[in-house]
Amino acid sequence: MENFLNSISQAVIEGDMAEAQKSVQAAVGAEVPAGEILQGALIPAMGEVGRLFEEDEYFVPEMLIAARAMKAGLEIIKPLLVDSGVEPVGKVVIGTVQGDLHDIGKNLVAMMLEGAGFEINDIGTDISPEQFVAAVETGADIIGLSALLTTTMPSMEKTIKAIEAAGLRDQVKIIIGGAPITQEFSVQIGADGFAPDAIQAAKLAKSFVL
Amino acid sequence: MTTSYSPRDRILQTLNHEESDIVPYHIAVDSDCLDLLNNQGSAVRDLISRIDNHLPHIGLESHQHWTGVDTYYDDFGCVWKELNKVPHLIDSPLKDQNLKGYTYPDLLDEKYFQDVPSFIGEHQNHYRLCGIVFGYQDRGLYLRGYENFLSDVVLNPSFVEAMLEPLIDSFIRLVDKIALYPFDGIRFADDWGYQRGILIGAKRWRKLIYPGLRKIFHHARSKNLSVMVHADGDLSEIIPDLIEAGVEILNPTQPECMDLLWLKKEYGNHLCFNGGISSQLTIPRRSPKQIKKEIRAAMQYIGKNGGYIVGPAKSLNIDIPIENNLAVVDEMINQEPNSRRKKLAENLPDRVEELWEVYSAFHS
Repeated sequence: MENFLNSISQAVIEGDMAEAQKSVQAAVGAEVPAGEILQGALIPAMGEVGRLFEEDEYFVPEMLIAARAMKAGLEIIKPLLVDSGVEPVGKVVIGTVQGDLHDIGKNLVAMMLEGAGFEINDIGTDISPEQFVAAVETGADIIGLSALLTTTMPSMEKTIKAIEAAGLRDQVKIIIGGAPITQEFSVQIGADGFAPDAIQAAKLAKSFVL
Repeated sequence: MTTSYSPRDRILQTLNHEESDIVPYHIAVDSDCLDLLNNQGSAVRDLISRIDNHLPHIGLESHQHWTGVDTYYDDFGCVWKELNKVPHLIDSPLKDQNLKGYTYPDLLDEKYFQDVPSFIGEHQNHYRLCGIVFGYQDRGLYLRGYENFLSDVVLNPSFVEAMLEPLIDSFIRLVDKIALYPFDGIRFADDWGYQRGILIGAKRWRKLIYPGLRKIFHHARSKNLSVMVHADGDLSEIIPDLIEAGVEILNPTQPECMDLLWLKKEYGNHLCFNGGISSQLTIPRRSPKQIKKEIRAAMQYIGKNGGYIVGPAKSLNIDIPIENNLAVVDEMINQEPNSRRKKLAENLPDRVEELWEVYSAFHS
């Protein structure tokens, strides 16, 4: 089994999507449990990618292709995970706030969180506070708000206020991120945390649920 | 008697790493913000009317071909959607790693130069810059889409080089055409950095992006055009490369992304800095008093021995409180003359610590 898991991990770390899919298929074919593929290969591989990014050996492009490879492998085992009763570590609603169509940061965070074992509800870009509230009402442990533009930062505060007004604030943790976002801003608007990059976002999210 | 120099004189002095009568400034203001400020009464109108920016530029950029109320495609075939007047890329012409059948636009087309003569006429006493806003690494991102381009730089760098190659020659010929007009320099816009470094990694940037830039910038310098670069984010790792490539002015030098005191100390003799006042934090969210303090700190430290054109890192906009926008304008255009400002600083040695605190807060 170890050989199968090592092949999957290596393919993800190298960002080789085709090889990741092939390795996962091979493992599934060899009846390696889906939970083992997730916990023993995909999640640790993304952890290693995170370490390489933090040590400036990997950059955004490497993180992106690794996350894509992981996601491609995960898609294969998702039905098997459901069948075997493997539960996600938490549920995340993530979106880019109103007035902003940038999605690459959000997409990367979503993939990293999925690689950390979370179930993701990615509701897209230009999301109004009301749409965030509606998504949270369907079930969420964590909300991720993304904004790339300084001019859309106020939308983050409006979204948090809308969640408060809907009586849902105590039920969720709110993480914010994006190029102009700072820790100071996060505190000012009442978010639970700020992540400067996708690696930190995954760590922060895990700290909220584990 | 107080010496008063023209805006052009001041830029020439600052490029020569000499101090002028004041620290030259450049305050970009969004047009709707300008309208809002001009509606705040005669005193504010008078203040705004006295802004005389030191680095005026006219941008040569893709035209917009509107297909809907808020959607257009540009001359490269990239599709954009405007939200609150901000363009967002929503589709890209190069879906595959294949240039076959794709035609690059002719950047020498007269349509890009239509407004140049009037710009020249309106800025006789200024250091005139011609902005090249088509994008280089950015254009690669737009042609392929963000995620595809970022994958390409790892998985197929040869394709990235092939995709950007035609732009190098286009920009070199564009520089030749710009040099036919009485411009003082070019302002080249391309975003290589993000909050914590070079987006594609410095080593990869040196291989894929730098060689083309070096050719373009060296060519501009050979035509006696100075080179100003607009590039957001943390460029710390590639500053020596930019200097070697011929860059003379770096904008916006966001203090949230780079340690400006370090930048001045290490490279202040080789490079000029423009911007430097926090648009992510200070200007939108701090008090007018704190804003003015940061501007004074920047002028004191970064403006020492010239080499600095103070300004908000990003343009002033309507989402910023009016009093904050006015604090920026007031502090920059109503400066104490350098001689008096430096004398004040000498008499207040503890201001060194106070000023350091302003910058170090970003990097603690």
